[in-house]
Amino acid sequence: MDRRIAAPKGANFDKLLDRLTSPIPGTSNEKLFETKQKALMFAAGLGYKKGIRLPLSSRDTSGAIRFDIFENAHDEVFIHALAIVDAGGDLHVLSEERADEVVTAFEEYAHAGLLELERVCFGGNKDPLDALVDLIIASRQPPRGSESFPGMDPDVLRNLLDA
Amino acid sequence: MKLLSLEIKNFRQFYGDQEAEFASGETEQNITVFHGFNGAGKTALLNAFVWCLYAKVTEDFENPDRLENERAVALAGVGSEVRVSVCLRFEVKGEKWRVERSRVSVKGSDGTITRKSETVALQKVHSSGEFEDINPESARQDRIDQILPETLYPFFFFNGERVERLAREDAYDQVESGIKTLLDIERYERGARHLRKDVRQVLTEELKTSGDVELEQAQKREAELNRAEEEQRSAIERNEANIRANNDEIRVLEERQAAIQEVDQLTKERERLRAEEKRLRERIAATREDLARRISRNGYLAFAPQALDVTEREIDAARTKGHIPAKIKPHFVSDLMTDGKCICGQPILPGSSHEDSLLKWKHLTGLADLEDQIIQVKSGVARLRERRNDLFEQLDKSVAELSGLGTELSHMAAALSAVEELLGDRRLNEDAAQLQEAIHRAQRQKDTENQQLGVARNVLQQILDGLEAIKDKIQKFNTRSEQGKLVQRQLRAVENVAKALDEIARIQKDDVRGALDEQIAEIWRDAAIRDYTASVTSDYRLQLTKLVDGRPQLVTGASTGEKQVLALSFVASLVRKARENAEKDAGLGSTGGYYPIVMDSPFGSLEDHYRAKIAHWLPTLTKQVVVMASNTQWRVEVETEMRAKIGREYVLELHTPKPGQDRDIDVDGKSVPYVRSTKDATEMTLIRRV
Repeated sequence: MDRRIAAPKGANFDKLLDRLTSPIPGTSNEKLFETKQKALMFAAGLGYKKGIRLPLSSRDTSGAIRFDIFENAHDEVFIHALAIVDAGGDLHVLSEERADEVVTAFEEYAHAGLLELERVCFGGNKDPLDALVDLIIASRQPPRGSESFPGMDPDVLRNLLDA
Repeated sequence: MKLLSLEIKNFRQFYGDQEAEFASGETEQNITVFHGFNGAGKTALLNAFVWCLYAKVTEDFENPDRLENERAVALAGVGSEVRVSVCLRFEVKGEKWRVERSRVSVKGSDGTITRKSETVALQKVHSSGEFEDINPESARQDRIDQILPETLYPFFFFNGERVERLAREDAYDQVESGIKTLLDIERYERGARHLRKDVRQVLTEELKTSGDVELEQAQKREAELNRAEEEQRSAIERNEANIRANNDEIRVLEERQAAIQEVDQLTKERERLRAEEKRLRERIAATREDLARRISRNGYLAFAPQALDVTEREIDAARTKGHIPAKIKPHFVSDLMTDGKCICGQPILPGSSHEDSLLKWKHLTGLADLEDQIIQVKSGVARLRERRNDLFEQLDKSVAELSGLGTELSHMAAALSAVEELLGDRRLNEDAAQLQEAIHRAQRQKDTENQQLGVARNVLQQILDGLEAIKDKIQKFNTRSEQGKLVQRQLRAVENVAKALDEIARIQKDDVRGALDEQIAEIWRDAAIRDYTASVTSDYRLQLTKLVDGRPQLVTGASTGEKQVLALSFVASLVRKARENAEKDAGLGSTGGYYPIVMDSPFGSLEDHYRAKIAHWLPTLTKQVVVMASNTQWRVEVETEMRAKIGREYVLELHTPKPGQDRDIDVDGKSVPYVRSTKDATEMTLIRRV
């Protein structure tokens, strides 16, 4: 089946994706993302991190990216993982009949993530690459036995909080 | 353009009617030589071409207002006319042309002359021999300019002793415009401009009759924004030009400073620090690019752990519960139910507990279908975790490296400003200090320009955003009517073509610059003695670099001779590229094509080695070479190289009233009159074919 992943439709999203994948002005060839596919991956991750799924009012089907491009980048596992989490752990979501569910979850996380990316990278005076680095560093889990939780395993703590 | 013949009447040294024809050809004898003693009229001959075509003369042509031949003036009666004219015949893309410029003056009683008229005639010569006049006269100069744009003549008609100015720092405008015009890249830029402005306007005019007030307002706004965009773009161009000029000024001032012995150590240290600073910046850029690439590929994994954990937990649970690997294949259960009979022979009746039990199995085996995929996801999760770890490891490394490089860079900047401060210290050297002050001033100006440029670019972006929004709005209006839809489609097509033309122009410019760069480097490698590398930079500067500690550094003190060779390499490469282009796309209406090279004093101040080299490759690069040379410029090396390729050869025979000056020269084994003493009271020159 010809499975494709689309970004939200609209001139502002076109422009945003263009900006995210073009060399940053004033640099020789510093791009935040090599391709639109990679920008969408990051956006979906970010959307997931924020816990926000935003339905798309319209999909940019003409610019949609073939699923095998995600597979070739070995990124499809994360797309499946997002779908599994969203289906409450139901592995049946991987079945062919529910492919749309997988795509929709990813696209909606990416939608939310793109808006967040726009704010973080281009909404302030901060250097966009530095902004991405900060985002990543902030999401790093404290290593096991971290001193910020003396005497307590952070995984245990997290499980307690999750429960 | 192929030069056919030149007829001169009473132009400077040339009295009466004189004529010469030119040799041309692919590989055969394509050189025309004019031998002339000093003052015989070599430079006048060069200027006969330039004057005929553009009513101009070259910078080194003295007394440009007085073109009339002295003898012609002396022999004319008071009140009678003296006529000066130059007629050039040439061929462009198979069409023959004749251009004749004449100046008529009247001789006064005190021997002075007063200009009466100056006219130009331009005629196309048909194969039947008939002449077709180009009219009106006002259109003629434009037509000539189309055939060989005036901005280009310095590349084809020049004094070899002054050609090095093309290799000067401030010549890049000329070099760029030469490349663009000659290789016909401008036509794409012109085309895109025309589409965006005129064609668009005509199309949108058609829509203005709709009568919708809101639409009309939007269109008005669009027109305003279009104007604002144009203004902003020219402001940016001005800023950029000023920055280039500032850079040139700074470079020239620093070169002067570097020549002052007392501050030699300091200027050298400045160069070293700059090179070091540049290297650091390059390393920072490379590290950042690398970091960006890693984030691009694996950045999302920073946010992934929980999703990966959940996925893995669910897969493990499915295993623990025995759902995978499946003990029974799903189609096995389906078959049993279809058959209505168990393998033990027991019938499976609808609604029975047997059927119920099988249905439960069937649900459990549902995962078996997905087994392969689940296994893949499971192993994929492990790989993603590895990639995530790798991301953080590399991120730490890059961040640490960037911070170290940043510190180094700020030390470097501090050291550099310390050196600059010393250079500005009057107690060390007054001249150097004054230059430093001027450098500071230029630097400050440049900073201001840079700031303005940044602001202008932002404003432009806002204008473009606004334009996009208003275009969207107009489009929505237009799609309401059929006519509107049609125009909208046409507008989109126009924009697409304009974009394609932009892209072609960009690619061509890159391609052309790359090709020229290669060619110049090749000619230079062959000709040069010193171990420098010649190149055309991306902003169209001709430059020489040398390797210092394995790194290329700009050569600042190249000799005049070296600059001449560099400039000649450039001209020759340009001519060759134009010729290649013409051969590639003949019939595309290109003005590019064949160009002659006409050089006065071609090898004047060059060493024998360079003279021989240039004489060797010049006729191989273009189909037509015309040189005017004195005997010393011509002797031995040049003659040896060029002799076999000479198609026409002339001597500018100088007649002088000074007695006892008779001289002959040896041309290809024959002795030919070079200077003759005559009884006439004035000097004059005759063009004699050898």
